[in-house]
Amino acid sequence: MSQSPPQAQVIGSSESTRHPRNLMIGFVLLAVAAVAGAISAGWIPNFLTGIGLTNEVLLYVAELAGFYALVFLLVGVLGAPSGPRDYFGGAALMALGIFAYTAAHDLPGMRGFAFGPGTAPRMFAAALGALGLAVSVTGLFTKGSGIDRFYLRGPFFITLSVLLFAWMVRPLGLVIASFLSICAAAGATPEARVLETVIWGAVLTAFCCFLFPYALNLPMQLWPNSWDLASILKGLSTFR
Amino acid sequence: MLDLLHNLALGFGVALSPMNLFLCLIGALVGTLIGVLPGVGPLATIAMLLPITFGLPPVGALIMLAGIYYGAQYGGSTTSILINIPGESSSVMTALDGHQMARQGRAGPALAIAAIGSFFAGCVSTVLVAALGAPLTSVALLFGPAEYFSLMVLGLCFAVVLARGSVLKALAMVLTGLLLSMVGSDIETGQSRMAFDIPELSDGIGFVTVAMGVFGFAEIMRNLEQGESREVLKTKLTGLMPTWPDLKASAGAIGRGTVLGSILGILPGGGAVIASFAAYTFEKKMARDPSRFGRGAIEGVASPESANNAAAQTSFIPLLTLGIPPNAVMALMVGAMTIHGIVPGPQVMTKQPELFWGMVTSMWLGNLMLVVINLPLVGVWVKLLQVPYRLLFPAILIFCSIGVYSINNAPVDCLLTALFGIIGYWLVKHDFEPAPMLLGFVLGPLMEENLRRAMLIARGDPSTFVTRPISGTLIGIAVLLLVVAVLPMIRAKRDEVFVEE
Repeated sequence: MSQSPPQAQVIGSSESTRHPRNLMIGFVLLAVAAVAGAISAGWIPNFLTGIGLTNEVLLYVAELAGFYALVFLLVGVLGAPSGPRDYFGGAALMALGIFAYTAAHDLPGMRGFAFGPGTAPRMFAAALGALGLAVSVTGLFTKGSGIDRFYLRGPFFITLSVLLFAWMVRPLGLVIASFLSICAAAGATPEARVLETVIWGAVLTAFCCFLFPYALNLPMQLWPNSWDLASILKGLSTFR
Repeated sequence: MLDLLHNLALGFGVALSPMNLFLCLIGALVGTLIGVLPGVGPLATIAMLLPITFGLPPVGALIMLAGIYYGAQYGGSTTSILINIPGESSSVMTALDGHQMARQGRAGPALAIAAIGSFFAGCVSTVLVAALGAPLTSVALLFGPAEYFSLMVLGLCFAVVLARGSVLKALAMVLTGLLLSMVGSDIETGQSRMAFDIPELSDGIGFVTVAMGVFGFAEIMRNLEQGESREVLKTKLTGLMPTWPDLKASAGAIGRGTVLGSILGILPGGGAVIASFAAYTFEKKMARDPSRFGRGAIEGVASPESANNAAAQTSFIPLLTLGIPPNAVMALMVGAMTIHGIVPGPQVMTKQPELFWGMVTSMWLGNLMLVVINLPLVGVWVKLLQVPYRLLFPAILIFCSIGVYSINNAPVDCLLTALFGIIGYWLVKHDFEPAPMLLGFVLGPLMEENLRRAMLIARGDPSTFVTRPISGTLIGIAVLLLVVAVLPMIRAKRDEVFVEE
């Protein structure tokens, strides 16, 4: 019914046979971090700006890849954590703390007695990092649950459905966007039938088109502004 | 006393006008409907309806919007009980026992007790708002920024202690919420913070975006995993009325829930969510046999349902007396009042008594209507919810998408919601509770503002939070709460470690 995503295969079980794999992931991440770090520090000219990886983005990449390299190397060396769910959960929060701290690092701090814009974010980011560390260490040493199985099908189609709606509601109008979005959502469950989905999609679309623009009086367009293909395509080229 | 009667008479005079009665009914009906429809909460609806109220007189507009809020508390319990999807975070606790009752074929009594409890709490808290509004204004004048900050810390500590699972993890979630709330413009300088030059983030992340993502979408993703086994509700709804033992068992719980809810609703930073959490935990601690909870104990429905309705109404007190929104819905009410040129705060009661008292009395009338609307109509809602999940979830999804989109007419908001959906799914998979995060997210801006003010007033000396008596007491209680909650956990963990060795 559903495949498990790569994460689950990599860190899915806490069997001790996984050590070499964790070490390998750790070293790969370390290499990524080294390259990204070297570029963002200006030691190697940035050849990646073409695909949107500016020095600033690479700094984040270096930082997070480096951090996760440590996370994996540590369990590679020490053996599988006793509570992988807490270990990796805490690690992710630490990563978020580090990320937020970096994002706020160039905001002005204290000016005399007064907090600057950056004071509180850095304070909370640091606290989050510390708590993430605590959760992670707990997971490393005390016995806890393994990583739960991640399913791909549901999240994938749900996200796809929302993305489709966001993408099409402006250029194509509410009717087409909701209908296609509902059809995409139906893919999330193997129980969906084609005919049923189409009928249900039409009914729901009709209901939404009555409820939101008429009953709730929201300014929403039902159909595209014009059926001119070029202008529709132009609208579809952006999310804004 | 005579004053109070006089004021109430004034209030009824306003609330009983045909126009206001009609608006109250509309609010209650819409509230129930959106409470029943999972994924569409009062917050999104009030946000969507704000523009419509332009054309209405201020009193009528506020009466209707308030009706949506407490109406949704009734409706939210219906979805919690029948399909285990809380229409709102305040009915999360109701789902624990309510849904179990439904599985045992006792959905009828659960729904009835929820409505009766809500109505009782609504009556009591209406009287409370009327009686305490004026005296509390003077007490509240003693509060400075330090006290506000400490109060919110206390509120968050409550949320942490009352969350399921590890205290550490809940605390981490609160901090995540606080951090998320800081994305956007700085309150004082307007400087962009952590927004990465994305224009849609410059105003901050919307509350609805986060709430719909982690509660709406993530919940759907999780439900889909379990396939058809997690069917809506197969047992037939038999016997709506609770039996005499049911009533007797829940009478005490309703009373305690009402008291707790009223108190927690008044506290800025409290509100319906914390109230229902606290009431449930309290009831579980009080019970002779706590193991019944989570397996369909009727007290576990009665208590949080009374508490959230009481709190939903008493949370108007800080808004109307202090001008401080204790939760996100009240923050929207501030928006509604400003649209009509009313500045929320102590002066509302003296300068616009008909607005204050009209709202208070309309709450009681609204509650009366809700019981009449809800109990006979429950059959209709049940019919609505016997739709199989494979048909239900696309509907929830599209309502959420359109709802999120309509707030700012911004497709990017939908993208953010989808992102938060995936984050929420991940959080659930790692045993992180999203509710404390949401609370931290709502209180974040207010907390930061008061923290900064307090520090400025104290000339940068953080000891101000402990040396000022009221603030110190609040912080003391907060610390005590955390210590009490953490101690057994450390001991338990240590035992586990020993066992392993």
